[in-house]
Amino acid sequence: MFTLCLPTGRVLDEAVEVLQELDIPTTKLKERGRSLVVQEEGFRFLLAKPMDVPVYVHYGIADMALAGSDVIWETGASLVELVDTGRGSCRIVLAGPRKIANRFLGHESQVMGLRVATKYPRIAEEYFADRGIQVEFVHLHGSIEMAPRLGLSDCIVDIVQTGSTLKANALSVIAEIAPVSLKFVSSRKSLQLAWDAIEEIIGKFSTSSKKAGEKNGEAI
Amino acid sequence: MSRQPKGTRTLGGNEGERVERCRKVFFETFSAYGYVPFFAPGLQLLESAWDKFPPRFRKRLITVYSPSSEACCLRADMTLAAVSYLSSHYSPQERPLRLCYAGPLYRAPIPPETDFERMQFGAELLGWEGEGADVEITALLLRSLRQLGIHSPVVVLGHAGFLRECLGKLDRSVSIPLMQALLERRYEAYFASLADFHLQKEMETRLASIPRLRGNAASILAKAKDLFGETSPLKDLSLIVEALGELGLGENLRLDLALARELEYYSGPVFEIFSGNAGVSLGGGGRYDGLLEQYGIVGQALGFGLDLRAVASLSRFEGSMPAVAWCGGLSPRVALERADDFIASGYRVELSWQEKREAAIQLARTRGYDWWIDLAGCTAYRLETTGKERD
Repeated sequence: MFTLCLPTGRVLDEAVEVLQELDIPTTKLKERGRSLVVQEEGFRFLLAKPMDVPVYVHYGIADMALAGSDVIWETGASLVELVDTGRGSCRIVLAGPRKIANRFLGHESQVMGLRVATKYPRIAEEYFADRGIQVEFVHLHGSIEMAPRLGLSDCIVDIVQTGSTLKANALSVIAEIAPVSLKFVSSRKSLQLAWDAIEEIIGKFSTSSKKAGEKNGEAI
Repeated sequence: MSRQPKGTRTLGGNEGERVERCRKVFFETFSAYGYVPFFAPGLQLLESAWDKFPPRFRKRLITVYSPSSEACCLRADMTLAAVSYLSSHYSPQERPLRLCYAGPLYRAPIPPETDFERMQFGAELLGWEGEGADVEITALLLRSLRQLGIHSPVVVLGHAGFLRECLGKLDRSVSIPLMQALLERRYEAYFASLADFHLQKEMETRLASIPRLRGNAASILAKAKDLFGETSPLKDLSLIVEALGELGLGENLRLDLALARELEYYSGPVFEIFSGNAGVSLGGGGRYDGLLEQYGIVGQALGFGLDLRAVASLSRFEGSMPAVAWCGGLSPRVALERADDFIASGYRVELSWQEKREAAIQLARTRGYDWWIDLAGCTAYRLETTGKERD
């Protein structure tokens, strides 16, 4: 029995599509109702908040997972990144109103002390610390884009897909921090103790991406 | 209210007892083979440690000043202390030196972990120049784990020299990101980098095979030899696999040729140990001859460190039976002599000097023991879950 952790919310549909492409049974998963633990054939699926998915893998509760690269980075979980599914593509960016964006074109001293709203405090802290820029962080859990508009922050670090929400809030991208996509990961223990099964699954990634004629990053 | 610093932990009660018994089993197993207990200071001088640690590890050091205003860090690694001790206290004729230790190490935690203080048990074998050391230390480690009731630990073997040999032929602009991806276990990034670098087909095929060379030791070695030839690192691994197999430990062994450990001083065979439900390893170790060289010492060095608390949580003791021994009005001399008899027959006794027998039984129940002993009547009673006791 393998335990696979999946993120709830918008990205769940894409995760289920990935599983279908890998011939992993998903019938009960689609008819789960409010269940957070679903069992089907040789798999047990755990449904968790996206930010919690890497944590379940880190502590060995789940053998494998589909997790966004943003939450893998943010949680710092120790796990093995096996395949980039190419799904759920978006970017983590630094964004702000035009006048703030202009300040980033100049010397670092122009941006010292800015207040940055984000739901990714670890990523934001690493980004600014690596550049020697001291800023103040406001940790929010959602609707980050409205923070500059309401005066809560000067700029934001957040994920962006199409950019339309940024535009609606009069924000523009100041810097790209990292691309984000849904990754197939395993725990370090399961990589060693269940390698044959994991290898079989990731072999199917190669097949399914070849079938689709896509180049989503080579499977291991 | 009594608070303690965030990220530290008091180990007491059952957990404290288990940790102590694990420590004892490790010490007994290793000291029977000449490993001498070693107690390093809690502070390490930054000037000695700094250049031995990779940048990512340095960020985790917890720095302090000693009362003599020396810049230090709380002890983050025991190996450096062991090598330094060998270099300054033992002449070449006195080598090899075998050390074992148990104590706290301090590193800033990487989320989602929160503890910065961790109890570690480890052993180091320093200054040997022949074969056998890797097998000795791995076999003793597995024996200790078996004695602790951890019957199916898995040792995953790799080789730092194998990765260096494979990647060392490449330009540093290529080898560094590839090594970094292996170290961080970001295999998809490893393959993406390989594709970006447009290497010669043969080289690309070989490098692409590395993260797949994992599993049953014998078959992986055969595959690796087909791809890379009889290289020196693969010969090292063959010897270890063969010897551990002969010792009946083959079932506990896996090979992972992509295994890379965080500390850069590893230079030969490396290993990690997995068991139980935890997603991460219980610990690991390996050969670090290069570090010894930095101290001007020729020879091999190898060692390992295990998270003692994680090991204790998996351990099962089937040995002595804990019991409360009621002295029942006996003189201390007689009570202690009779308790000795019970200890000799496999009990671990906690003396109760209370006047009433019921108080001693209640104490045994409170402790969660299965037994209580009437020393006056020289009888041990098993406590039933029904609350009644019988002979």
